[in-house]
Amino acid sequence: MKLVLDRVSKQYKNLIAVDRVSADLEKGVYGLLGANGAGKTTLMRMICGILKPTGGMITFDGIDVGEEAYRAILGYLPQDFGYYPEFSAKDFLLYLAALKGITKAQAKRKAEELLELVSLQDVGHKKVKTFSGGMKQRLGIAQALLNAPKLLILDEPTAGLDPKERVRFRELIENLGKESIVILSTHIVSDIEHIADEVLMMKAGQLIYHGKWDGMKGDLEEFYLKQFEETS
Amino acid sequence: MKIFMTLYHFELKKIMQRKLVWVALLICIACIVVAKAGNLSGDYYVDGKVVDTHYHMFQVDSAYSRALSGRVIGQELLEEMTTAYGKIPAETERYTETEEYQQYARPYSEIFQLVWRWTQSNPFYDGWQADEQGLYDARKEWQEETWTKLFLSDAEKEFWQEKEAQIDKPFTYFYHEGYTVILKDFETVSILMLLFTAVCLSGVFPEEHVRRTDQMILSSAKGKYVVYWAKLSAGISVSFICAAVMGIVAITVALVIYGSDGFRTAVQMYLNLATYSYPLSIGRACIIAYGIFLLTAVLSSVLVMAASELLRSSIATLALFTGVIIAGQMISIPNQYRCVAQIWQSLPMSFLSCRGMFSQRLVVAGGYCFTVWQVVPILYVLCGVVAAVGGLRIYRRYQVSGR
Repeated sequence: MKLVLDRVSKQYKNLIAVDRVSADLEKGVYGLLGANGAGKTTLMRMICGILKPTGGMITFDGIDVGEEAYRAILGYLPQDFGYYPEFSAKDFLLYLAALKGITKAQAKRKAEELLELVSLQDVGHKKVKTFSGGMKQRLGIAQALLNAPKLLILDEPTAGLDPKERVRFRELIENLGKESIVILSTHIVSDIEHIADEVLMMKAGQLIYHGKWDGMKGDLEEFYLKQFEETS
Repeated sequence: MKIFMTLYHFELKKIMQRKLVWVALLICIACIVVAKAGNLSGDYYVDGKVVDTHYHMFQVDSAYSRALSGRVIGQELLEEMTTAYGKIPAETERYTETEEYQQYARPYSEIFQLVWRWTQSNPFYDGWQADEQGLYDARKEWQEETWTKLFLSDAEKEFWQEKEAQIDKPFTYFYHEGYTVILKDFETVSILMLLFTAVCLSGVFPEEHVRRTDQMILSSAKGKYVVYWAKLSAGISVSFICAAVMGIVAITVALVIYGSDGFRTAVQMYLNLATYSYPLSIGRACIIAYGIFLLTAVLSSVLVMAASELLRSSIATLALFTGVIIAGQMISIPNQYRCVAQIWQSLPMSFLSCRGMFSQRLVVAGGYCFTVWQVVPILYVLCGVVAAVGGLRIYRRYQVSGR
């Protein structure tokens, strides 16, 4: 299981949003850090195949990002995602499951499992428009896990979650990282500190650090700031 | 296929859960019913005084027309008609208000209207004498004038002459008001259908971008191909079903109120198609019209959805299609620009009318002549396929950025 980013770039006219990012990622949790505008979301979108790189290649076990087989192993939680106000939570998951190519019978079973996992089993029949921000975020996490993804991209997944939910979520991600590649982007450094096996740091579209984080290096936030100082 | 059907079901649900669709459909149905039944409401005034109700007048006239059903429009009937109208004092200013008109002439008013239309002058004031041959010659003369005005080629004239020869003459009159009303109001129903499609389907694709659900859709396995066809199919289904409902309401209301008799009446008895030479019954003309109406509902839905994905805005798409529909009503290309005029008249907003669908301009291909109602539906299918494939290319190229 290997995700290869080979000199991935994205340029908009005069702006280089992502500049020749290369990395080989294997099973585990990867924390993606960077200030606003560093290119994190652009990179994640390119990994998800919803934004075409202007340069470089992205492959998963040799499968190109543009192929359906690539998207079939992908789970994605966007930073700011929408929902269908008139759909119930269960319908929302069943719809997304169909989009992921999961048959109806499997989808029903999986939707129930995931609703329980994100503690929404009692409100599965309720319309999403009645949900709080945190509930919507949990539903978003559930949809990303529908197809048991080998590659899971989470953009600000803990936004809107209360402390208790955040702890549960960290445990979930840690477990998922044993079987798949999880790339997690967040502003909350402590989330990454607790669960990331490796850290990726971005600044001005470039990958300025890629390395293991074992907790022996001290405080990640300090390390993060130090890296920024060194490269500025 | 199972995945496609599941996605289709959800896409259909998304469209049908929008209140806009139901409100628009109810408004369209109300407009159709009012347009059909409204003519019969209210009173008939002469010099500010109520003389009769429209409904009673309709009852009387339809009873007289039904009494003429099955009669050949020949010398005998024409003589009866001229004799009856001859009883009205000649110097009368408004002959319809005379006692003689009500008693003798009114039962023949349908035939009188036909003679008036064919000869293009009022038989009462012109002192027209019953002359079967003269009447049919007048229609032929009018027909040839129309062909000249339309700049028809010799091949087209020959085609129409052949078709004209296949029509049984003299014509037999049958009461056919229900079908006349269907054809008369067809254009109104069609405009409502086109507007309905633009209003209800212009948001199918852009709303995913506005709601930001596009990120999850496009990153999923079936999100770049299968879901596009599921969305398109759902939109087509909604447009087709709602158009069918509008059509059924329009036809049912017309036939219930005005009567369903006269299906086999020659289409030439409908005064707006009096010079049309194709051997066709008025009932078949209605079936052709509504068949093309349903096909156009499918085409317009594909065009609206493909355009909305191109423009990425439901408002811009709605504005574009509303503008095009209005332009179709306002702009008429002069007949001398034959090719442009024919293309313009083949566009849905102009074609969905008796004038457009039963135009005497033909399509000549490979030495054969075809009527527009035979060719344009095929072109609509081709256009629909091209628009659908073009829409897919635009959809697949979409890049989520800038949020």
